[in-house]
Amino acid sequence: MDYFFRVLKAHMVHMFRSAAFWVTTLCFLLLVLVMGIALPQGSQQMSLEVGVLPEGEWGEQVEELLLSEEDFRYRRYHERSTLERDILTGALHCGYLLEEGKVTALVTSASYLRPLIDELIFTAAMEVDAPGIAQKFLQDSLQPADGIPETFRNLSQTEPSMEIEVIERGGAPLERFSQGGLQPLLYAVLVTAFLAASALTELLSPVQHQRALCQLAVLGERRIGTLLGIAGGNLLLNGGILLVAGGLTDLLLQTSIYPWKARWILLGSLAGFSVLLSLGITFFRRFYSVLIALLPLWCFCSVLFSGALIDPARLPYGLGTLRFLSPSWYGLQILQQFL
Amino acid sequence: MVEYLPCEGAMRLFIVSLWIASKHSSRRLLCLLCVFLVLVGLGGLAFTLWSQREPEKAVVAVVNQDRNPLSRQALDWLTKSGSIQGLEGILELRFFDVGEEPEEKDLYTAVVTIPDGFLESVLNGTNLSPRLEVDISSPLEAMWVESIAQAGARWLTNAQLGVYTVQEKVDYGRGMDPQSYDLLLAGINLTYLRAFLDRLDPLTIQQISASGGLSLPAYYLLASIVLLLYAYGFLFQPTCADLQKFSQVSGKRWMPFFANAVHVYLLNLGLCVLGVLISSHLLELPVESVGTLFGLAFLVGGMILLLTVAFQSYTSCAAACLLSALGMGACGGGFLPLPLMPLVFERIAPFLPFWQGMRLLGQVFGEPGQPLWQPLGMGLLLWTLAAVLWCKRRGALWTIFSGC
Repeated sequence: MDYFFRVLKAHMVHMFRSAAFWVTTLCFLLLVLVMGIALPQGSQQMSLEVGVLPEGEWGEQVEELLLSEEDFRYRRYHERSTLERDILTGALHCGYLLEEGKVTALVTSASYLRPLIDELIFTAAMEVDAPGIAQKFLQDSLQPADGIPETFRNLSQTEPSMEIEVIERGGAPLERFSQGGLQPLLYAVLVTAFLAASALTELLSPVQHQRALCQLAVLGERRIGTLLGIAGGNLLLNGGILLVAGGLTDLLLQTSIYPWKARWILLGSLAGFSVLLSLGITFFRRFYSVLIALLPLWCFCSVLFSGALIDPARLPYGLGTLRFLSPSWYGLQILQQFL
Repeated sequence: MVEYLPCEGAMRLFIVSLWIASKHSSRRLLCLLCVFLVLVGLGGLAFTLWSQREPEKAVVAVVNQDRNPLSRQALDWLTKSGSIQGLEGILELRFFDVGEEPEEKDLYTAVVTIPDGFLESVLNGTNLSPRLEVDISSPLEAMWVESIAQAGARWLTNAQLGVYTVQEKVDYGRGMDPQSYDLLLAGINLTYLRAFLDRLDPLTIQQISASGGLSLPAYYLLASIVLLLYAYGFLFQPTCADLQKFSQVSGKRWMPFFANAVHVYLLNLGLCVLGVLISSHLLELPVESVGTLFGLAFLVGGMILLLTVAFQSYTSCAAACLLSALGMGACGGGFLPLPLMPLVFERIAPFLPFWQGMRLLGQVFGEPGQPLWQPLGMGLLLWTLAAVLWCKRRGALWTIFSGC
């Protein structure tokens, strides 16, 4: 036991003095910070809010009617650049520039409800234009056309309007929205980045240190004790780094779709797995040039096959089975168990 | 001690060093090419699957119980005239006539029942209410159907009010010839019908994209080319280290450096050309500006040369290349287009070689770019730093990893 703690301490002191360890740790934590800040926030993949930017009196009148509606939520904008940004980040489904005689719909490839919202926009436009249509018709027919808006308004209060009788059926509404937005991608990237950083730390570790530990293990006939000491040291270090990373993500994500238990179980599993990875790299260190050359490809495939972007099971030519080699896929499976 | 060779000897040294360096590095760069092809293949498959995701349609049953034959004709005309064509992407309508009922209502998001006498009630203003049964276990689709139905009802109401307004203004035809009054009513009804049919005429659709003029697959393909060029710069490191040792041993300082620099530049230029050819073929994009490729190779070559000179060890150089490439990619729009990121990244990005490289590559395909002095100035700075480090024989940063 004494030997185990000595090896653990020596290994940890060595790591704390290693520039490679600090550089990879800082780079990983920076990546967590950048992704946490840069990630578009929002728990739903599809926003139901629509932005409107009125121009002129006609636009203001249409906008006023829209803001009083309940089915879609409309948000008023004063600048086109802000409206476009919110559409691109997914905060809005689409946007409209309302100008008499010209209505511009600003859409992205994800704005598939645009035809429906067009109808709602132009229904409100029709309400504004209806008195004017009657007035113009009467003028063209050489009939008296004064006081049309007042007459129209009075009739709207006295005449019965067309109503739809709505009956709801079915059970409790199921949650049909895709959950989480980009959060699964964030965790997929974090798992991949952490394992890549662990691999790099191990590859950058001096060969002399590895040889010294090997000699200690062989000459002292304490192979298991040495291995456990190194593993214990790595576990403590990785656990600490993941603790900080977990704290950063909790701080930066406004709402997390995964419960705290799921996130911390993932981080614990990741700490353990990274220890095994480090030990594995130690044994295959002589192939370091191949390992490094394949590292970016492995990172890409790990994220691609994680299921955060696409369902890997749908990939052709049996490529979907590669998801079982993706640590991020396992990570997301752990998180989804708690949903 | 530095010896000054006659020009002929120096040129010969340069050419031989360049040839040997290019031969060695180009073998390693085959690895980069293979990685790139695998990434393109997998990325292409991913985007194909991504674009196949279609939103679910709301299936609506329309049960017409109105015995008026004009009512059926009106419904037929409404669906075939193209006036609601735009909604076909989200709504699927199935019609049932008098006496027919949908087999299982649970199969439908909504069932619209038009009551008997509906058309007549619209014409005489009594306005019988159609019934709309929605399945709230599909809340989104149910909301679409209800919104469309309510919009239709409001259209009809406003058109009716317009007709009543005209009737009121002409005092319901008192003092008018009955035929003229009928014509007037027919005219106002047709006017509102025309307004309904032309309601979408003022609409202009403008597609906006975070990736500018490029499609998302094109954006990420170009980003991956630039990212891989920076990330795999360490493949030049062994040749660079060998030339540095040769330079130290032989005392020839500049010829090996120029040979190193030119071989890095030429091979990067070759990779850029290859990347552009593959992208152009895959994305069917025309190449509009070949000259910017030279600038791109200059910029990327500068960064690679600096890192390969700064780090004497292969592993540490690889770590530096990978971490710097990933860091630049994360902050410079490599993983998420800049318009989707907080504004602070848009301010940082122009200072990153990755972002400058992406803009240059975009310019090759006709994307609007920035003034060339920015990437060229950045490249010149990087080449100069590399030359300074070379002169010092040891880079300042390599000592951090001197144990490797």
